[in-house]
Amino acid sequence: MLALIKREMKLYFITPVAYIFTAIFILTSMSLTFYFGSFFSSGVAELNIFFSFIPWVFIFFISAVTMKSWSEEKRLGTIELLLTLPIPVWKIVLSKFIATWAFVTFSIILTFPIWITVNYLGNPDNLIIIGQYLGVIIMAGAYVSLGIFFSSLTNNQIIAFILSILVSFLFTISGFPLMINFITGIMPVEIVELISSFSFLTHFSSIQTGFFSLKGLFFFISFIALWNYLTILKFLVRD
Amino acid sequence: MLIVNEISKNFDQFKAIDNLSFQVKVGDVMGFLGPNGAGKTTSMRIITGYLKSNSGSVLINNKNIDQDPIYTKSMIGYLPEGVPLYLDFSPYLYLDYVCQVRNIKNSKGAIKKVIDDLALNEVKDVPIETLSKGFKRRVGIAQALIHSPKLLILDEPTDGLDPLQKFEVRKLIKKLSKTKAIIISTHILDEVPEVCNKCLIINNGQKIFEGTPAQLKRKMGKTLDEKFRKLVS
Repeated sequence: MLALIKREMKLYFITPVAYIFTAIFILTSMSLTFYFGSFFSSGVAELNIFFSFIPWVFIFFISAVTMKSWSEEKRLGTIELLLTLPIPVWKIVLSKFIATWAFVTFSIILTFPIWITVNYLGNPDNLIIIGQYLGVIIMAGAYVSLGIFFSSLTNNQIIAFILSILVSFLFTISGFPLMINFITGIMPVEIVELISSFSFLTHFSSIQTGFFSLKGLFFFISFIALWNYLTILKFLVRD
Repeated sequence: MLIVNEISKNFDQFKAIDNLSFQVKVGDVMGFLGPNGAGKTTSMRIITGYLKSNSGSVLINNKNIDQDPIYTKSMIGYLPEGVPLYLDFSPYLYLDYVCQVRNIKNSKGAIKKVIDDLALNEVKDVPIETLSKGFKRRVGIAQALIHSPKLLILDEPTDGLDPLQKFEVRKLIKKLSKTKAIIISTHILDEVPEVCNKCLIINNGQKIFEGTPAQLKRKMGKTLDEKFRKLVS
């Protein structure tokens, strides 16, 4: 399994694509923070503004990273080599997930200059920031598991990309105030609560305070388990 | 070594394989023939565990592929149709990965052996993407051989090779056949008497001939090509 994970990682780093993705991710998250988030003029030594943009950047960034995960194997036919290896399907699926998650985590860690900046300019609570980073990494796993599932459905990367963006967007926005206000008008309260309880933002905001809420952690871990399970199922019940 | 027992496979309404049975023993090289779309690739995909049959069973070394998939898969070396490979990798890096996922102990020795056997030394460090069709196919055969499997399944192993390379690959198959059971699918009939001691022809998913290449020739009294055309038409 370790060999599979290593190969997946190599596939990311052997081509320039991964570096470009990482660079775009860092540039986008930074520029959103500095230009739209008015990071400097806010005058507060914390990274809340930076982290509040992260889920939106993830929708695109992680969908782009995961889109080729399975679809490329299908297009090239290498999936046939992969699935005829003497390795159980769940190990193959989890290797892909772990490698991709690790790559995304690597990109997240590369945003550390903003942490240094905020420490240089003021005295932030670094424990809270570490908590926020961990929360972001766990949330990234949720986006990755979802993206990989959609990649397993098609041999077309673009279709995988669009489906992943669409569904991640729905899961992200379902707890957004604008969305909640909108559905409150047309649906009973119970359903509104149900929908917003599936939102990344709802759970992320609790993690974002820097204190791990068990509920949020549990939500993201079950979410990751569910989508990986669906991907495994997809290959177990294939013709 | 391999026992295929009345397997059938449907894709929706289409019957790809219809009640197909055959056996291959160690020492056998079975030529698997049939027109395009006859079900050769589908049969091979079922044996290797990539596809599941709708009915029937496949035994490899007396183990059922559905009950002991990890064991049976470890016995097989497989070259899929069209030679899929990770194009960004070099042959060496790729073979090294195959050694790791297959848990081969002496990986350096195993890699060196297949690289020598298939004359890949001059290209072992360039990306597979840049290789010619012949080299790609040899890398594909190399990854199928590296764990010295007991059952070797090669889907059109000599397709796209030049005459000299074809000769080399056939020579290699003959050499390997002493210790292995080998299935090669092909549509080049001349290849059959040269390397195979068994021959199976299917059409529309059904077996239409099984025997030795000599029997096939005798039965017809004509050239193999004519016989083949007659059988499948």
